[in-house]
Amino acid sequence: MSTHTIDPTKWVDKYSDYLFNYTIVRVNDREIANDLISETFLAGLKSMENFKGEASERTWLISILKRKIIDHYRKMNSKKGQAEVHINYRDGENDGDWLEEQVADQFDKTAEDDMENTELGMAILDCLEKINSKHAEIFKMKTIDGVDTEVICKEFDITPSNLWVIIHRARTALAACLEQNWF
Amino acid sequence: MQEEKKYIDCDKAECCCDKGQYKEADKIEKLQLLEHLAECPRCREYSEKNTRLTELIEKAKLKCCSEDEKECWRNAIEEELKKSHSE
Ligand SMILES: [Zn+2]
Repeated sequence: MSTHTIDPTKWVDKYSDYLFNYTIVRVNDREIANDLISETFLAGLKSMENFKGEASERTWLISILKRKIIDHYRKMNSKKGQAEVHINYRDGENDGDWLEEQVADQFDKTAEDDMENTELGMAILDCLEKINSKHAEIFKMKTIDGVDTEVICKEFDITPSNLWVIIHRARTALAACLEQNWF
Repeated sequence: MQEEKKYIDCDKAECCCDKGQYKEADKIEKLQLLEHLAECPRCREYSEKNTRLTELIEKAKLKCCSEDEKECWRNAIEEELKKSHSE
């Protein structure tokens, strides 16, 4: 029985921040990350009939994105003429492992912290997906983008006290959601 | 004037604490919060958690896509959907 539905018109609002953070740490370049996400959305549209609803929409999009990132590394490596790419590379299920190795090679020890921080970032975005989407949007604008209270209030047509109530609910939910693994 | 501003309830204290996380609590709010925290263990716990949450968010160095980037993706998806409907 399929429990998950698919709705491409909501993909950008629901998943782009998540996909972006997932990608940027792996490719380290905003423009490339953007291209890979574009390609992912388009590939997702083309293979929508393959969506069985067994995994969530986001998990499904991430699996497409992973493949795009692998392709990106493959292209990059073949440009550099690095033969070792072909040694570990196998089609199918092992793509993920291969990618992990490639990505691991790209990072030194200090970058391990970055990976952990990204994992934390993904956990935060994960938790925010579970709350009211308008509240999540407002919370992200205020907390991550640092947009002024006044600007947000205008955009969403709310009062500052409305805003602080929303922020309070979002923070409480977020803390509860992160508590087990990160506090 | 001073008297009626002195005591705040837990809701107001939490709100001051939230504003404080964004450096948007004014002087009076900060004072009121401190006074409240001195006597309220529940809000002290909230305040600790809230501060920890701010630290975690900063540590995560999250990046959000810009509205322009999102608009671009939205348009591309819409185009593609139109194409597939007309096929
Ligand atoms: Zn209290």
